[in-house]
Amino acid sequence: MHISEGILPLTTLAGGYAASALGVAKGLKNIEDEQMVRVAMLSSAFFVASFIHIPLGPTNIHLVLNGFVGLLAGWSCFIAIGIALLLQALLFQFGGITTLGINTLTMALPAVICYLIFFPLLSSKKIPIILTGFLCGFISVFFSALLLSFSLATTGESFIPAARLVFAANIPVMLVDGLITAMALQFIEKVKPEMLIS
Amino acid sequence: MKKRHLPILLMLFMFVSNNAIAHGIHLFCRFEGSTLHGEGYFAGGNPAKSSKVTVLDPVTNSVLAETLTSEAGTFTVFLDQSTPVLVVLDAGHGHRATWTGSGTTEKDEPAEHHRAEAETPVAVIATGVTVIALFFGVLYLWKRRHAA
Repeated sequence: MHISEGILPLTTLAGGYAASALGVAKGLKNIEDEQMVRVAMLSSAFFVASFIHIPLGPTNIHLVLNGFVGLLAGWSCFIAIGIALLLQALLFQFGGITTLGINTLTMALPAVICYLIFFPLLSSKKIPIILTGFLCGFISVFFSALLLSFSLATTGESFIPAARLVFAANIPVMLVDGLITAMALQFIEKVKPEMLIS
Repeated sequence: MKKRHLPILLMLFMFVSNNAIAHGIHLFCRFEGSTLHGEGYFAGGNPAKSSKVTVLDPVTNSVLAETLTSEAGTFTVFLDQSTPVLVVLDAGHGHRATWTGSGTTEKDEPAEHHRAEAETPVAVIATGVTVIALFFGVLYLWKRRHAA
């Protein structure tokens, strides 16, 4: 789910960088010393998750895990996701440098929204952890796909079919990410439950 | 932010916008057997119509084939060789894009080449994870220094 170089107009690219810079600044302000290792691990997980491909019909999809990263890193997910996307662009030519801002925003903003919605639910245990995890994974990819499609649609009418196609192609990713996030949270609850308490 | 960082930031933004405007043409190519398919388009998404496409041998620089793009910005070239080629798309007014690739079929490639390709991503992924660890290590030290 990366936007490549040369597709989006300059205004969208600049807007992406500006909004991501605000998110990164908020993340830098909020991050505590004891969270540093956790955020680094989550950034690594996000970086590696893109290389785990799951065959699905005639194509294959890859994990995103932005909801999982957002839930455990909070606002610091802007740093975690930003650095992972920068390395993916430099080492594997996924996305690009000019699109780094909009790609970071597309991934990290839904992650923060999921953090604000689901972390209080997770701490209070009002709904089962497996359901919280699934909804978090599903909704984060849903909003990321929506933002990505919206970014493509700003390019012009010729990109609207592509925007629709991108959103439709990400529906299986929403389900798979939901399942993986649910399983990961259930595992964390068993081995290190203090990570899920604010 | 310190004022002395502002010129550096401005220079970075200038570099980014120059890239987007001056070199706003893109070229994508793929081989199907010995047939090279390609597509050129501008930064806004418009196709590079009737633009000159030249296929060169990157070693000798000799011209292997020449054609023009269609109204949709696409082109097809039939090549009878499997060595790497350099494709140059010239849309005029200084809009140029290049692509280098090879139409080598799997049976032509030695087994060692496949092994090396399979191993490279793991090494690069490990490099990426190491850089992430280093980045957060530096961030930790920076935060500690500013907190003190």
